[in-house]
Amino acid sequence: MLARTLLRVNDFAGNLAIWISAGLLVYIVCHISVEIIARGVFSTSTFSMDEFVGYAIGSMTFLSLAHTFQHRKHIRVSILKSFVRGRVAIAVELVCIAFTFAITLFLARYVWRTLERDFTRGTVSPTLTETPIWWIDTAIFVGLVLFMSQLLASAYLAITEGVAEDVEAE
Amino acid sequence: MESLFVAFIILLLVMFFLGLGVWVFAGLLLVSTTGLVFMIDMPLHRIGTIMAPLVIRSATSWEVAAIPMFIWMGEIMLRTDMSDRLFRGLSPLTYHLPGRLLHTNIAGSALFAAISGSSAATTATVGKITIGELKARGYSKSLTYGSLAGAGSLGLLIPPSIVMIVYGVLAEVSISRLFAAGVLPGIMIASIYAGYVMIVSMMNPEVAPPDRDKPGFRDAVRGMIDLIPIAILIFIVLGSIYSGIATPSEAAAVGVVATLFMALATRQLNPKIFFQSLISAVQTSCMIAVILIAAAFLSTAMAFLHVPQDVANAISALDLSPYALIAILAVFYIILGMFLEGISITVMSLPITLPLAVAAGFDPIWFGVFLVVMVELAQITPPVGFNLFIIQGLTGSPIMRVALAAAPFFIMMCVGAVLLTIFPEIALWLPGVLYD
Repeated sequence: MLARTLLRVNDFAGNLAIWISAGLLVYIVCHISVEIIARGVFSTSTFSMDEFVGYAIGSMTFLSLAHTFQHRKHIRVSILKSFVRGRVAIAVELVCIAFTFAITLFLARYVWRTLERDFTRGTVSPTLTETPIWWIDTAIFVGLVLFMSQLLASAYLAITEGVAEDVEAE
Repeated sequence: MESLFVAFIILLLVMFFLGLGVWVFAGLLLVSTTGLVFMIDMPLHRIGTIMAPLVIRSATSWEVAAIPMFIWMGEIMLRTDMSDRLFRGLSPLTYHLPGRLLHTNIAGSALFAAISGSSAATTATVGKITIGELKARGYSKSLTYGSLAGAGSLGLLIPPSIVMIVYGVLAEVSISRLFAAGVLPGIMIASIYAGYVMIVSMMNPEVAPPDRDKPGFRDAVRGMIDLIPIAILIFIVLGSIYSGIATPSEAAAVGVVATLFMALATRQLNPKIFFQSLISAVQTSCMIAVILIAAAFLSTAMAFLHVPQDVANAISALDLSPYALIAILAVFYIILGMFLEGISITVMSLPITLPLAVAAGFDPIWFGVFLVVMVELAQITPPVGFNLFIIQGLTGSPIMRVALAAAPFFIMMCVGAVLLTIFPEIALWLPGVLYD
């Protein structure tokens, strides 16, 4: 019961994050369109396109990480996977998840340190907009935490329901 | 010798993690970290302090913004009647050639490639309609699958191209020049495919049986009208780049807006298509972006281990001729392509192969085109070949059957790579005319 509730919370968080990511992609298209019109028609600029679009891309990538993983769209080489079945397949899947969790935890720990430092020092971007950098660190950190939560959910589902099929990527 | 040992250990680590089935992005981060810890005893704390800022910087790089937008554009087109229009438009135009409607696979892929940056989107969009139509008319299955697999990969070579953007970002060369450099090689490879289909059809006319009703002049005119939206999109996307209105990354936004307008004007855009295409684009670009981010860290780790420099020195010591070097690299890429997909191949190999090619006197723009042709070959080589997977999904045929059908087109593309190496002007002429 508790596990199912946690899975639902995990799904909700992943869905929310992917919709924020989708909103960021729409924002990127809009900002670039405005920049082209401003430059071509009014001979001016938003003076922030490269910077803000970069932030949006980074946030979009990490916030969508968990949902993309849940939908099995991340690429993996499935040579060993195609030869194993049943419990061995579950064991292989759990080892892969454990390795991925370990490296993500390691990365998240140091992203957190960067976030903590940027927040306490009030670091801003070296641009006209002087954007506080900790916002971007936070988006990336939250994305990594959601991804780790999804990895745990996937491990639980692999044990209880078997290994899900991967979707071929584009 | 020690450096070659390090490179060998790194290769073993890559094979271990990726062979086990660890997701590519995590595998690359693991290989980099374990390599640094075990090969040069770098403390974990130092690795972490290098990794985190590098990941944040790579993730927020403006240059990769084009990737999700070109993917979104392809996702919208995949969900509209673009593939029907391609077939309706091209079939009366190609019917009178030897091989008849088989050319719709090749010409359709070449045209769609000019508005899509992805090989998978090109293969899926064109194949969605041509496979069924050609099957119903009794065309050779083998030639249908093979020509689609081969020509579908042109999505990577004919601009706009996602792999070219990735190469441009990593190799720090002009993406506009790369795009221009891909045009003629793309047309050349499409022509080689068309020539092969014509020769096979003349030798065995049964592979492309005639229709009961031959299309006439009026059908050809109607076909051209069907192709107008596609021509407009090509004109808008490439025109915005080469007229100087937009950079390649900005052109992707122009392409998305134009495609949305086109879908709206033809009354095909609804909330379902809009949101489905958007979410799918976010997922696919996330998958690509995290690999790019992990690869950026792998490149840094390799630099700490001195692998690119030492391997380059070791190969230089062999005193190979430039052609021998390219032949070795081609074999290396074909082997990699059997197990990895295009973007992974590009990002993993570039720190080593680009300095080698440049030191041997090859232009980095030319090498980018050569690399993209190698990546195209990877799309049609089993066991991991995405175009093969897509055709398998569309037809239900076993992967080895699709791979066998694609084999002649694999050879034709190798011929294209040889021509490109002997005559580098095929790639370098157009960027020279446009930019020098």
